[in-house]
Amino acid sequence: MNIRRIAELAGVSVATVSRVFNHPERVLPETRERVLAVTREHNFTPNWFARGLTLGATKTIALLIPAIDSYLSQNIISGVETVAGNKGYVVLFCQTHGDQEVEFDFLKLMKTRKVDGIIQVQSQLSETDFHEPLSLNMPRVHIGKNQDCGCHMVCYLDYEEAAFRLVKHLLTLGHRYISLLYDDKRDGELADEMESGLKRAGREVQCEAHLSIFRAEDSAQGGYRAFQRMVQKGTIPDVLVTAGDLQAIGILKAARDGHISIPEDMALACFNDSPVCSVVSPAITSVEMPAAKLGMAAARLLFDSIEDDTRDPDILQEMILQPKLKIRESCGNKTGIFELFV
Amino acid sequence: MAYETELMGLTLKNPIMTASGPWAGNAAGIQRCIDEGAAAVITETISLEARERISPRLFAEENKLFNTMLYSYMHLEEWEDEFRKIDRKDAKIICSIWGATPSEIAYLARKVEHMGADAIELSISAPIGSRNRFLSQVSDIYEYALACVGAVNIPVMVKLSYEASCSPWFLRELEQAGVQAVSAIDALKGLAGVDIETGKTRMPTYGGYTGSHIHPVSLATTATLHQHTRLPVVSSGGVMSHEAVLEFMMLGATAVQLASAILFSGYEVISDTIDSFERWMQEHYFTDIATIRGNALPSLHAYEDIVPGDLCAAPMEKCQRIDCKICVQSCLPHAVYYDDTGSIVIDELLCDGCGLCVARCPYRLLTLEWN
Repeated sequence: MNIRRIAELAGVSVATVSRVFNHPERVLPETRERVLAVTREHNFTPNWFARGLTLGATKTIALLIPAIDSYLSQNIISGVETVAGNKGYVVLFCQTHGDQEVEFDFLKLMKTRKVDGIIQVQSQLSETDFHEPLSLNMPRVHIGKNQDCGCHMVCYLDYEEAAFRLVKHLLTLGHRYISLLYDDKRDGELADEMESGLKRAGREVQCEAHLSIFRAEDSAQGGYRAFQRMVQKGTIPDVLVTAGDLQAIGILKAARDGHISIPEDMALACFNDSPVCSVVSPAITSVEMPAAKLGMAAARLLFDSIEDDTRDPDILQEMILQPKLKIRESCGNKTGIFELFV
Repeated sequence: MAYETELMGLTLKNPIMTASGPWAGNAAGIQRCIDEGAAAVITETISLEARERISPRLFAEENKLFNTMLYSYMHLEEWEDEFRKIDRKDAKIICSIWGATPSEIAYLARKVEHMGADAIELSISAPIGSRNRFLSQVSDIYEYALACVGAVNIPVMVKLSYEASCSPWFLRELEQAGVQAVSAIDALKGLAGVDIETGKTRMPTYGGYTGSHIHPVSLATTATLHQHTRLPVVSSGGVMSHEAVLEFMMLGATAVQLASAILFSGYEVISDTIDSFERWMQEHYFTDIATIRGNALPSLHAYEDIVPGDLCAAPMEKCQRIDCKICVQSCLPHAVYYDDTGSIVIDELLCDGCGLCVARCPYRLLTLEWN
């Protein structure tokens, strides 16, 4: 069954059938009903790909994301998909592994697939990559603060504020020497944001805070190994803050194995809160980053741009989302309520 | 007879609107409010994320009501669809929105304006969950409100917590940001109680405490706001009857919001309240609201300006109700007692004129007299 046959059976032109699907308001109601009755009878659905070629709209968007295995990424994906679903769009997932070439190839592919828009998470590309030979002309949204990839719609989580709130909490508990453990391949500029948030917190609490930075893979194993090394070297920090929840879990296990108690011997906290942070013992103080909301925000910016072509694509649109500090047990908080979210 | 009122450049057909809440959580609920005659309906708070509903989320004890509802569970896209289903008639629709950052709130504001909102109510202070950050971090309220006002061409009002209503500084920031009205008060933070046998709270988290018990707080806030700001005030908090509507109007409110009353008595309470309000106005020959608005304010004085009076309680007729004792129990200096015949007597030398026995006498037999 194809559109020609439907037209024949309904006794109308191919153009009329096409209009019924794409601009039903421009077809007389009785004609529209007749065409729809025939399509129902023959179980006909329009070929979306062909539709995309003629209308320039495939109802498809692409999401390019470095990794899909972290809780944070999963929530971004879920947020994007939720809004796309609401809008009747399909999302193509492309895992770039944080690799410039992979990302570039995906973008080329998305161009030939005629997607209606693209969301890039932590792009590794710079604006010059987007002129020849790529010359993408569909709307693009970037998720991540420091971007150079030529997107005029940007949204990101405010990690500087996250660091500020966490460090301020640590400083008020009396901690002064703070170590950050992060995965430099995945966590981008987290170290810089931490530095800046720490300075601001130090100014506010009026004390001097010191930061040391360590790198480890973003996994429970990565955290376990990194902490084991610290124990063996006898360099257990005053406070250890990890980028990911899994690293913190690994550290908890390594601490247990090494007979080091948390928070008595060392305070532990992490960015990117997840449900595990609240179920382990001691429950881990963490910063919740609203990743699902971030995904939803990015998708909304994208659809606004797809649906409204009158809007000036060169005006920078930015949306910044705030974290929430979840004070639990792992840093030594002893005030009244056991969990305090600020 | 029409009792129109102007609010932020909008003409309301009467001064009674419905507050943001679950009764206006979708097109059907909003339609009910409109059909019952509300001059304006404020939507349940729309945010960038939708939250799953917890159950139970409403707790009631006698007239005390507690809710643990943060904002609408519907996505923005669903709200866009719902909006198209509403037959707005002559009612105004005000969208309540909440976002955590200026960029979020600007985005949402533009979205709801595009959806067709007549105005925006910024929800900044619900006492549920941990979003009540403006109480501790008020420094950014100007930037936040400005982001909303600057993003749209429709008027913006701000729903205030009790605490924010008490801060002249906070209100000045809102005025400077271009906010055109304030509504007060939002729910107070409350807990239904502790079950002392199990040692556990009756609610799993803090709730928004509303209903007739917060009415006195809300009355005081409406009056106080007139001292702090020139912005029009929309009163909310324990508006359970047309008398309460009138009280707020006489304290200077431009309009009032019904909330808990709808949960307790159904949507019909909206038309009942409007009818009773209009009937009262007619019976008292008031043809427009301006004639009553703010009338009670001149009778309100600063405490320091009240001249001390040498008054003393006295019975207006003989009282021998031995089993009552309320006046006796209410007297700290023991000025009120039963004499040998079992009659109430008040010792003029001991009575300091506090007035509690007069206020509490169930038979209204006591009065305050000049000493």
